[in-house]
Amino acid sequence: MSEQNIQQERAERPYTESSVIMTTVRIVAPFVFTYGLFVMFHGASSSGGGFQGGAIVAAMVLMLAFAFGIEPTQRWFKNTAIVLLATGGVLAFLFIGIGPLLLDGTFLEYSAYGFKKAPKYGIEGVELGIGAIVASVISGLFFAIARGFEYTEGQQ
Amino acid sequence: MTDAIVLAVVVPIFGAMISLIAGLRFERSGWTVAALTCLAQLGAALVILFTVVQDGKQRYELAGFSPPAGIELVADGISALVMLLVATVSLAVVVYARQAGPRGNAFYTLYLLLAGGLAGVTLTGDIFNMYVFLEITGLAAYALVASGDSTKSAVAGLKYLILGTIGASLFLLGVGYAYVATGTLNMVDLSEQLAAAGYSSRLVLGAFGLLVTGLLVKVALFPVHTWQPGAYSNAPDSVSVYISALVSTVAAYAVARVLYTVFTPDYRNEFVEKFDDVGGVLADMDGHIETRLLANVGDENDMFISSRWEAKEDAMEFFSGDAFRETVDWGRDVLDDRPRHVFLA
Amino acid sequence: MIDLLTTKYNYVAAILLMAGGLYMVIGDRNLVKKVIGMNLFQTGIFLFFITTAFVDGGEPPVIAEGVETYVSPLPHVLILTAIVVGVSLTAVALTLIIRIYSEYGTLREDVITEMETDD
Repeated sequence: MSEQNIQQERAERPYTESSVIMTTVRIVAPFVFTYGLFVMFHGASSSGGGFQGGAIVAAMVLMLAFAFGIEPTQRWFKNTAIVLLATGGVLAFLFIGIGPLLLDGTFLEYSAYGFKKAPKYGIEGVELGIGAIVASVISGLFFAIARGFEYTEGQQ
Repeated sequence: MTDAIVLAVVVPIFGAMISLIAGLRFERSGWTVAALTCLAQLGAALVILFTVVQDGKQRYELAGFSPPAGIELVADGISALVMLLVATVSLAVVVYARQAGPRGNAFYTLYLLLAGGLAGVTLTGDIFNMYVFLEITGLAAYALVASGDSTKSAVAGLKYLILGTIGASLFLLGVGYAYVATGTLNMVDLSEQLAAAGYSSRLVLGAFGLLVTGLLVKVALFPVHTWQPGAYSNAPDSVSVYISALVSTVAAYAVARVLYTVFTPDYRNEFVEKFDDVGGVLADMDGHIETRLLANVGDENDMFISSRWEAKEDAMEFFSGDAFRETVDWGRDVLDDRPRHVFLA
Repeated sequence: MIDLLTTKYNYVAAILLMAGGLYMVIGDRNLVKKVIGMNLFQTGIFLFFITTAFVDGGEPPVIAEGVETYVSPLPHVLILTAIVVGVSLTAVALTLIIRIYSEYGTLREDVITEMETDD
């Protein structure tokens, strides 16, 4: 009985973690996101790349989930957005790869694209796609694990 | 048209993404997408088979980088046949799943990912690429097995996951040993470099053991088969059909590929090469005319060395010398039976 | 033995991690610990790969002015892929464990086996 009251209270009050975490996350999150994008963009000529940048962006989403609550973060970063980012990343990779096939090259042969420095831009495009995939998949898996399981079937 | 090799791998992955996106809007579109994709994959597999029958082994370099530095896809006689098997069974199970199987786009997404992964394992010519596609196959298979209704599916899926991951990790370690021994990852190049590194070196022996053991976990050979009964019985029906027809089979194909292409069945060949070296030494000795290595047609391991010298003394001088004794000792190490010496003067 | 430890300590560390991870997978009753052991095993393998890539006196594999020897970058790339694979496998395993826990109420594999054979 009292447990019901407590749960009702919890549902009405907005979820707040300690104010230190909330303030810090509010300030730090954009920088972390920028840093993740920076790492994604610089994969071709220095350390970094799609996997690492995607993991950093996913870490930002997790950070927001810890500070503001998992439910609100999931309402912000909807399931549709996650699926679209993941599939968009894969499709970007596939299209950048299949393009050279139409231009008489082999799969992923960036130099078949006409313009100058095509390999560099091709690699960066692919890395951005991979970053999108990794970020969205890790966030999606986090939300799936956090949602838990009432015992009905269902996957992903 | 050798682009079909790449398309056989790319089209299912593309289809999986389409199925996932379509699942956001149209609830039951998964079957249509899967059927069309499997038809396209079957078409690509048939094109590959015809090209291989007409023109022989096809090698397709990805990204225009040629083999020792780049990754290539290879379709020769056996991989074209296995590819055709994968495509046919995929299409057949999709037809069956219309009636029996799970519905819902998540199932078809995983299904198409599995089809793409299997195609990748079949057609790749680079051993680390084979590891990546093995893991894609495994992940899709674990999720498919666990997608059944009861919790037993989840337990079976978890068991399959843990054992399969250990196997794939052993495979990765074997790839690492082979890379440390040779510096290359392309299968054909690896076979030459491993022979050059010496089949009896511990690094190469370790690589062989790890590679084959890791794959045998996926094949579910006797001691490491315990994931299989649970996985097959507790998975949904069409998943059971698909996985039992293809996953272990393609893993067995991978074992064959590693054994025959990477580690050619040639401990014997190494002996023949060494013999040529010895022949060079012999040619310099006085009084030597000719030495040849003959093999019994009936039994390859039964060999006969015939050596012609000008005079008996020269022959005896060689046979009592150090070089010959070292060769005999080395031969004893390499071969299982002792070489038997019969002198016919 | 001592000079093995001083010169080839990276291999010793990798083998210890692998052995520890494998023991956890086989020996622990808790499902989550098995998954952690699997991760530890994979981490040992990654350590092995990356330490074999090191070249004495090599610089990080980023093209810079006046650098002669670079550390070999290929194993780094291989391990990146393998790490991502490992992360997704761990995530799938944890999702399955949550599902098992919500039904059976326990995470011990001997209890789960018993419950399954009783059904």
